[in-house]
Amino acid sequence: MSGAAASGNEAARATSAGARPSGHRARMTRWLIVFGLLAPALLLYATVYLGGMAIIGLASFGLGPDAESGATLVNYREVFASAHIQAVVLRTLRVSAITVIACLVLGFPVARYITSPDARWRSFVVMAVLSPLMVSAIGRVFGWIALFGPGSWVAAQTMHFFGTRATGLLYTEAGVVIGLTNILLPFMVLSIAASRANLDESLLKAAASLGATPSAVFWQVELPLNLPGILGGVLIVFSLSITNFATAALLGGSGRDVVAYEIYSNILTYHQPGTGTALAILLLVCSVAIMMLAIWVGRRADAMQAPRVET
Amino acid sequence: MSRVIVLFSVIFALLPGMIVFLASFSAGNSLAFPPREFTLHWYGVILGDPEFSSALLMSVMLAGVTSVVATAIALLAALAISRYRTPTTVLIEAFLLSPMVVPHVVIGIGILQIYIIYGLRADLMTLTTGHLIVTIPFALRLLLASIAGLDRRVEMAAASLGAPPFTVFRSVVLPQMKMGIAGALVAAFILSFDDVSLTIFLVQPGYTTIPILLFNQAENNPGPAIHAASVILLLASWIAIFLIDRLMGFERLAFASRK
Amino acid sequence: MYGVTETADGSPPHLELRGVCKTLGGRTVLDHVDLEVAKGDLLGLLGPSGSGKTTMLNIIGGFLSPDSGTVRIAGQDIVGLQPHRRDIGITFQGYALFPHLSVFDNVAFGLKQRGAPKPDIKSRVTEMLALLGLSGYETRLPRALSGGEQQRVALARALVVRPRLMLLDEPLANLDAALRHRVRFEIREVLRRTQVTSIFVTHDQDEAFALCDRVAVLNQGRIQQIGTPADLILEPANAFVAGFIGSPNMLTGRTMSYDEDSQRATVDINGFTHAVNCKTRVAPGTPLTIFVRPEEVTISPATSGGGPFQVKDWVYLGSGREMWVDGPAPLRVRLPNDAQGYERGERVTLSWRPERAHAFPADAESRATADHDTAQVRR
Repeated sequence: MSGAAASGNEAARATSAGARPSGHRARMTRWLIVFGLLAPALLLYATVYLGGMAIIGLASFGLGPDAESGATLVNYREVFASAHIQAVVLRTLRVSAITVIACLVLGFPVARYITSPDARWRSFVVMAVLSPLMVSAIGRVFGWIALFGPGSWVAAQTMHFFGTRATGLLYTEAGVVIGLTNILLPFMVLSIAASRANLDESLLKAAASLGATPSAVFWQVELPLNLPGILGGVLIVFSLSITNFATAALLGGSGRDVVAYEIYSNILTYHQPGTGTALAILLLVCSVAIMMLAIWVGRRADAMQAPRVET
Repeated sequence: MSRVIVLFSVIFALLPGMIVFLASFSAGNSLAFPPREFTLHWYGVILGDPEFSSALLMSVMLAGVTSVVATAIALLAALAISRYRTPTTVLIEAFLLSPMVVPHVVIGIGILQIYIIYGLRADLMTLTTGHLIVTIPFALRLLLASIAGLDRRVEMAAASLGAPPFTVFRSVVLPQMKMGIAGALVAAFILSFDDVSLTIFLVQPGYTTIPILLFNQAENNPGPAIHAASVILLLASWIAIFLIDRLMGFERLAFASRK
Repeated sequence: MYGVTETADGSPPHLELRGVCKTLGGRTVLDHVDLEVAKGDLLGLLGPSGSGKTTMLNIIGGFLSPDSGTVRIAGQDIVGLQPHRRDIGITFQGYALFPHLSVFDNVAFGLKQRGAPKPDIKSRVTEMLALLGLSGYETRLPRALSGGEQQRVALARALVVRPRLMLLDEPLANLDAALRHRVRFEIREVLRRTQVTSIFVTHDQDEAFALCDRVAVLNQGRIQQIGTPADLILEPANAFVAGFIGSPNMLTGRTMSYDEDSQRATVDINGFTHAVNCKTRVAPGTPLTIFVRPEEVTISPATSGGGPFQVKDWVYLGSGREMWVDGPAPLRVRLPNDAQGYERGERVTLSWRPERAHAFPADAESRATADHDTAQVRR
C-alpha cells in the first residue's frame, strides 16, 4: 500500500476501534457479543486443555481421584533421583544440542540465500526446505529407514568401511539427530530469515564504503544484526527437539529413550503415572520457558529495527 | 561454499520423501533401497487391507471434522479478538495460541487422564476434541492475519450506506476472508491428518489413524507395503501444500507458523 | 562533447567519468556518460526517477561495474577497485546507520577499519560530532534519534575518514519540509568547511540548486546539460532541461520567421504572435515547443479592443500570486502578492522578454543536443 493509503487505513482502524455507540446498554450488548464469540474456544480449552494439564499437575503431586494420601513430592524426588531418568535427560539434551548445531550450520546459509535479492531458485528452495513444516514426518520416516536401515546400501557401505553393525546410522542417536534436523530445520530458517528480511542492504554497502573488507562486513555488521534471529532459532529448535516424541521413537533404536518417550512408556506401557506425570510437568515448564525466551528475543529483534522517528 | 550447503539442505529436506515415493514402487520384498523393479503391487495390497482402509476412513473423517470445527471456532475468536482489542482479549489471544508452545505429549497425556477419569472411549468426538486443541492455534493465527489485512474503510463505507453490522460482516468482511478461511481449513486438516504425538495417547485398538498405524508398524514389523501406505499419507500433505500455495502462498503460511 | 565543461580553475578534474555505459535488465540505464568534477566542487546530479542517477552512484561507489567507460579519481582508474578500497564517503537515503552501534561507534566505524589508534579515533570523532552539532550524542542509539539527527550522524560517519570524494544519495528526501531547509544549509556548510569534493544525487530541483555549485541534469541515461543553476534556468540546452527546471508553461506554435544573428524566432501560437529565443536554425512553418516560466510572463490589462487572453482564476501561494489565464494557449502567470489584481473574466494581454522564452523544434524533445544538425530543407 502507498504511504497515504496505509495511513488512511490506520486512521480508519483507530477511529472504528474507538468510535462506538456509547451507553450502558450498548456496552452490555458488545460484551455479550465478545463473550459469545469467544465462548466455544474458551470452553473447549478450559475443559480439555487446561483440565487435562491440571489433572496431570495434580497427579504429579500425588493428588487426584486415585490418590492414596495427600500432596506429596515423591514423584519429583523419584525423577531427580533415578539414574535411568538422568541418563534419559542427558541423552535428550545431547541429541537436542547436536540437532541445534546441525540446524544452525545448514539453516544460516539457506536463510541467507532466500533473503538475498538475486536468488534465482528462491521460491523452489523455500518450498523445499520449508516443506517439512507441513509434510507428514511419519510418512517420511520410512525413507530414512530405507536409506540407512539394515539391508540398505548405506548400511552395507558403513559396514564395509567402518565395520559397524549392519544397522548403519539408524537406530542410534545419530539417526535421531538426522531425523530431527530434517523436521526442525524450517524453524531455524524461518527465524533467521525473518530477522534478515529486516536487514537493510544499504547497511552493508555503507560498511563497505567506510573501508570494511567483506569479512569485516560479515563479522561486524551482518552477524550482530542477525544474532536475534539466530538466537530465536536456536531456542525454538532446542525446545521443539527436547519435547520430540515420534521421530526419536522411530529412529532411535537404542537412542530412542528421550524424555517424551520416557513419559510415554511410563504412562502407557508401564502404567507408572507418578514419575510420568512429574516428568511431563517438568518438561512442560522447561519447554514453555524456553519458548517464552525465544518470543522475547524475537520482540527485542523487532525493536532493533524499529521504524525511524521522523520529527 | 554456502551455495553447496543450500543445495545439500534442499536435497536433505526432500530426500526421505523422495525415497519413500520411489521405494513404494519397488518389487523387492525388503526395505532395501534402491529398488530393483517397479510395480504398483503394494498399493493394491495396502488399499485392500481392511485395517488400513478403516484407519484411512477414520483419519479423513477426523481431519475433516476437526478442520471445519477448528476453523469455525477460530473464526469467531479471531473476530472477537481483532475487533475488540482490550487487555483481556489480548490475554485471551495469547492463551488460545498457547498450545503451539506446549509439547503435544503433555497435552495428549492430559486428555488421556480425562478419558480415564470419565471412563471415555476413543471415538470420533473424543479424538476431535484433542485435535481441536492443536489445530485451533494455527487456524487462529491465519485468520487473525487475514483479518488484519482487511481495509476497514470499505466496511465504514458500507455502514455509511446503510448496512447493519451483520450485513457488513456477511457481505464485506466474509468474502474478503475467503482465502484466509480456506487456508485455515487446509492447514487444520493436514495438521490433524498428520498428527502423531498427541493422537498416540488417545487412540485405542480398532480406532486408529493412519499415522498411528504406520507408527505401530514401524515399531513392530514393517512389511514392504509400508512405503505405499506412507505415500498415501504423504499425498495428503502434498495436496495440502499445493492448495495452500495456491490460496495464500506457502511462504505466508510458513511465516505464520513461526512461534 | 556533451556534458563536458571546463572545471572552475582549469585544473585537472578530481573525478572523471568517460563514456560510461550500463545496461540493466535489457534497459540502457547509462548511455555514454561523460562527467568532470573539480576538487572541492559541489556537483548536483539531477534527474527524474529512472534517469540513471542511482546507477551512476553505484558505479562510482563500486557496487556496480560499468559495461564500458572509465571512472577516474585524481587520475587513478578505479573501475576494478572494490568498494572498501575506494575511499569514497557515501550517505544513503535512509541513512543506513548501524542500528546495533552507538552514535560514537557509528562515526568511528570507518576509522576503526583503517586501524587508527584509539586516541586518534576519539579525538577525530569528537571533533566531527562537534562540527555537526552532535556533541553529547555519543552514547545514543540510532533509533533514539530524529531524522535530522540521523542525517547528521550519517554525514559525520562518512566525513570523519576524510574521503577524497563524497556521494550523497537524496540526503533530504526523508525529511519534512520545515526540516529540509535547515538541514540543507547545515550540509552545505559542513561540506564547504571540510572542502570535500561532493556529488549530490537528487530528483528535487530546489535541493540541487540550493546545495550545489553546478548541476548536471540527467535523463534517460544521458547528461543533458551541466551548468550553474543560472545557466540551466536562463540558457537551457534542450527541451528536456527547459521543461524540467522550474515548472514552466509549455506552449506549441509554428515558426513564422527566424533571425539567425539574434537567434530569435517569431512564433504563431494559435493566432497569438510573439518573439522567442531559439538556438537552432528553423525554417518557417516548423512546429516549435516553447517554454516560458510563469515568473517571466508580464500581464497587462487589455486595450479597449479586447485582449486575446482572459483571466480564469488565481490563487495565493504565499510566495506570490499565481494566475491562470485562458486564450490561444492556457498559461500560468506569477505575480508578487501586492501586484495589481485582476477580475475573473477580465481580458488581458501577455508578453515576455524573448530571451526568456526558450523554443525548440517540436520533434526533438529529450534527445536534443547542441551540435545536432537541424538544418531543414528550405521551402
